[in-house]
Amino acid sequence: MAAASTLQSIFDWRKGITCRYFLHGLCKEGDGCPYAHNRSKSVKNNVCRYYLQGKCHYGASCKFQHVVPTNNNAPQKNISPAPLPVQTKGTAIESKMTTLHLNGHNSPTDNEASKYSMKDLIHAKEFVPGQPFQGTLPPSYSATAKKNGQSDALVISTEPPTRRGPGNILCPYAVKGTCRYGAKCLYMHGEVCDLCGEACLMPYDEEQRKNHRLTCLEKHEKEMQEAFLYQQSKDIVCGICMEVIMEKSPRERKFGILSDCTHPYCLDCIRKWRSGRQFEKTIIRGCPTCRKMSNFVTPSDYWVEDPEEKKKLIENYIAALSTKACKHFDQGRGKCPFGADCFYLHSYPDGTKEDRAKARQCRASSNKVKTIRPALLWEFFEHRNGLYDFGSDEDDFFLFGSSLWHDEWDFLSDPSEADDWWEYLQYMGSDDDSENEFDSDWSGDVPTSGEGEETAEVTAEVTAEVLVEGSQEVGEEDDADDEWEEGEGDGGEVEEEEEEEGGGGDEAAEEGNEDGNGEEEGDEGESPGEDEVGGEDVVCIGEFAPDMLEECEYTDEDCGDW
Amino acid sequence: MANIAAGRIQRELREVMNSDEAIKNQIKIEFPIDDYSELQGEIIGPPETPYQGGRFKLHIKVPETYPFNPPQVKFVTKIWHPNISSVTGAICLDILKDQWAAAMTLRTVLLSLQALLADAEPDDPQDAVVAKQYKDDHDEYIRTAKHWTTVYAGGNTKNQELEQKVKQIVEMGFEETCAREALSSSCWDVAKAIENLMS
Repeated sequence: MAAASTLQSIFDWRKGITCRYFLHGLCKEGDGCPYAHNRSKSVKNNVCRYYLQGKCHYGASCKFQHVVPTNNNAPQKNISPAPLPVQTKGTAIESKMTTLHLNGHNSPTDNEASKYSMKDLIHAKEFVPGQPFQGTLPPSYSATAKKNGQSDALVISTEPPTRRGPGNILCPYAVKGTCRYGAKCLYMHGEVCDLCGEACLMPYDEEQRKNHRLTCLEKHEKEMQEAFLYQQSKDIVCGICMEVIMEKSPRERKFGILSDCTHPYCLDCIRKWRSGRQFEKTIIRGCPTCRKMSNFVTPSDYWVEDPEEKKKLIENYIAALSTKACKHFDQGRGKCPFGADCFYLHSYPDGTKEDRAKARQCRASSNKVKTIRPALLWEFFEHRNGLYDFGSDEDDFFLFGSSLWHDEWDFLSDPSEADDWWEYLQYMGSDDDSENEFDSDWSGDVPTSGEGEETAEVTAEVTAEVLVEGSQEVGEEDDADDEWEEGEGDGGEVEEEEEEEGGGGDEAAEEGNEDGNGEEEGDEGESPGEDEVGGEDVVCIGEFAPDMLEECEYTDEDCGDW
Repeated sequence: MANIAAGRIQRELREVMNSDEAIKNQIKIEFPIDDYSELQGEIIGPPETPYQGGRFKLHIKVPETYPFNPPQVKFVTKIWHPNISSVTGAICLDILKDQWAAAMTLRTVLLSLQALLADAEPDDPQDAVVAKQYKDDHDEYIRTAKHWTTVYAGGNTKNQELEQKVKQIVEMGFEETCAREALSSSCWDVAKAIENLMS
């Protein structure tokens, strides 16, 4: 007995809790269930919040109350413009539907539950196949909507559906092929564009369709052009490495277009050839095949032979370079050896551009020393690298033609000694007669007073400056020594950047200076003779300055363990 | 050997082997397996020159920096030519020095050497003695060059008179090569040649 009464008390305790199986209509115990089978016992605030949002899946069997509290309006706010979480298209539409059916029925489920009681169902007309249905149908959504005077919202019109957010965005899956949500996708499934084959035409947006067609056409034309260029380029063999350029590794797959002849080379090969120091300028600046001199090399992804196309390519290249700030000029802080003829942008921090006419005069007065600087630096690096060690093999086998250079280089057997540098600079400076001649030509031509007297002084001064600049430059490049040791430094990055911008970089640009120089001098109406001398002189710099940089890059990659 | 040099030499060897000149047996290149830096070349003496009928062997050394620097070429077969050293075989040819261009190949080099044999450049000599003979006594130069071609390069124009003179000096106890060089330099004057050899 005692045990039974204890059991009873336990049951009593449990009677206070609503059976959760009962709530779902699933309790097997029936009346024998120890838990309470009474909905009223559930918690006070028992309104189904999903119902309030109009999307309760349980409908009548929901354990929460499907009642709109009349005493306060707060839940009702949730009903209509509730910011729906982005789910499926279906729920979004459903929610919209429910908001329209507010005349007494608050949801389709509630509607059915209340309207069609068991009694109605029993007396319902039987559906006989082949005969019109006799029973009553619940009013259609559209009819209800019309009753409410909101027909516009539901009549399918040619107007774009006013969807929130994602509705106006094309479904990326559908664009690329198939979307697994199909028609239920919340995003817009566009119409298929016959050009690109992608479902990316907005059904209602004429402007978008037009724009898309235009871009598609452009893309198509570009592709055609590329295919054509590829066809034109695919069998082209580099005259230096003799490989098919298009079959080289992507990094090396670039054409170096010579400005004055039509022989193809890869960019790397022709640059390396032009950076050589073992031959006369006329040789290295000439085409290795036909010896025609070219002032600069233009990088290109494809082979361009047609003069018109080539002209365009070169113009584009120069235009692209003229937007890049010149590293030598450094917003007015540094001195660019090419002065007014530099292909790069010479502008001050406030955006004003350098007065090119003035720069040209300034440059003419101390042309020699300035122009010689990069060449020397290049030689210095080259010597350090030992890349062109062509003198070292001269046993009695063959007396190599360039042994003179080798002797000069011995000067720099220990480049860390500044004295050597100094001597070397002077040696080089006094060595080149043609440059001296050029200098005198210039000083006679340029109408600046007192220039002649100062020339010697200026030369000495600037040579000193050159020395300083040179060492600074070494420092700027993150200390060239360190960089070489590390193997990866700014050099590599610089090159990448250059390549992204359609190739280029300092080299060709600065080579290009020469060309610019020639042209501009021509404009000034100087005699052809002087022009030629001028061109020749500038030529030597143009060749070497940039290549120095290039060689550094080369070192970075190939001599990582240095 | 640098990547680019090795790749290019292999291509060039193929080019040489498939060339018309090679098929006609006018030029030839041999190379040791797996080493493209030291090659053996061969050219035939051009027709209607003193070198006709001879086959001249060449030593070709390909530098690491090829093709940005020229190959180093010298004659292995002794030859009497103003632009080729009669002693060392060194060649004075502009394209092998300061006029080199990266687009030139072994084939063009060999053909250029053939052209050099056909058309000497005595004003830019490698061997001053030969150049002097070429200019002052051209017939003597042709006779000597033919003799050298026959002796060293397998030519077929035997000159008994010159052979006799060489033999004469060799019998005095001199090396045959030295004797021939001395005789050639002194326009085949035996007394002068002996004087040269003694001094």
